[in-house]
Amino acid sequence: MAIRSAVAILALSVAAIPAQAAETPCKYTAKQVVEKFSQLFFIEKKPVEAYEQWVAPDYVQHNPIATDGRDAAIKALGPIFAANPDLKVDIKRIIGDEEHVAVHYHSVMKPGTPGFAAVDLFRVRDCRIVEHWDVIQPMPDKSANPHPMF
Amino acid sequence: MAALPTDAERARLSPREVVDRFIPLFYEQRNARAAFETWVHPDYIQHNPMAKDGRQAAIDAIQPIFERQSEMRYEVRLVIDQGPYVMVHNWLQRWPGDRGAAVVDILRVENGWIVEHWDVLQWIPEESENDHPMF
Repeated sequence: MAIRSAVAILALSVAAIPAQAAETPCKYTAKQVVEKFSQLFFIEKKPVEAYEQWVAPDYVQHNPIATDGRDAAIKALGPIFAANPDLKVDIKRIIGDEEHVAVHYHSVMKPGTPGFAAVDLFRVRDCRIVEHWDVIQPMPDKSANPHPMF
Repeated sequence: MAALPTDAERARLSPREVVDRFIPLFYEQRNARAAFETWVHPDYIQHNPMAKDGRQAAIDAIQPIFERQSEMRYEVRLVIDQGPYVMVHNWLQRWPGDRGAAVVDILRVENGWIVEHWDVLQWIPEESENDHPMF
C-alpha cells in the first residue's frame, strides 16, 4: 500500500512538472530581467540565446527596421552581430520601475569609430520582454561641453 | 513667476515628484525659463553636445528656439524613475503633422533640483517595417 502510494505520488508529481513550471511565478523584477538579457545580448553578444530566453515570441517592436515578433528580431540582429565581430557596448546605466526598463549605452560597431549613443526601452511582463522601443543618435563630431552624450 | 520652492520643500520631493513638476512647465507649456529657473540647479551638468554646462546656457539655447518655432510641441509618452534618475520618453514635433523625432531625456535629481541631463534624439524615418515606428 505504501509502495503503491509512493508510486502514485511519483506519477502525479512527474505529470505535474510541466504544468507547475508553466505556472511558476516570475521571481525576477523587470530590471533584473533586462539586466540578464543585456548581459547575454550586449556583453556576451549571444542574440539568439538572449532572445529565446528573455523575449516573448509575440513581442511588439517599435524599431522601424524590424517587424514584430521575436524571430524577426533575431533575423534582423544576427547579421549585424556577424558583420561587426568587434562590436563593443558600454552600458552606462539601467533605470527601471515595475514594468518598464531603460538601458542607456554607448555602442561602437568598429574600433576607432565614435559610435552611437542609444537608449533601449523595454516593457516586461512575467519574466519576458514583451515590447521594445529605442532611440539611437550618432556621437557628435563637436560638443559645446566637455562630456558629450555621456 | 511663482515663488521658488524653499530648500525644505525641495527636500520633501522625490526625484519623480520634481520631474512631474518640471514636465508641464517645460514639455507642455514650453516655458523653458520658468521650468529651468524653478527646477534646474544653476550648476547643472549638460551632456547634450549642443549646449554648455549650466542652467543659464540651457535657457539661452532653448528659449529662443521655443520663441522662434511657436508650433513646436513635445508629447511625453512614458516616464520611468529609479533612485535619482528619471527618464522621459517624448515625441518632438516641429510643426503640426511633422513625423518629428523620438527623444529620451534622462535627468538626475538631487535635493529637489535637476542636476544633470543626458538625451538621445532620433528623427522618425519615413518608412517602417512595423505599423508603430518609434512609439
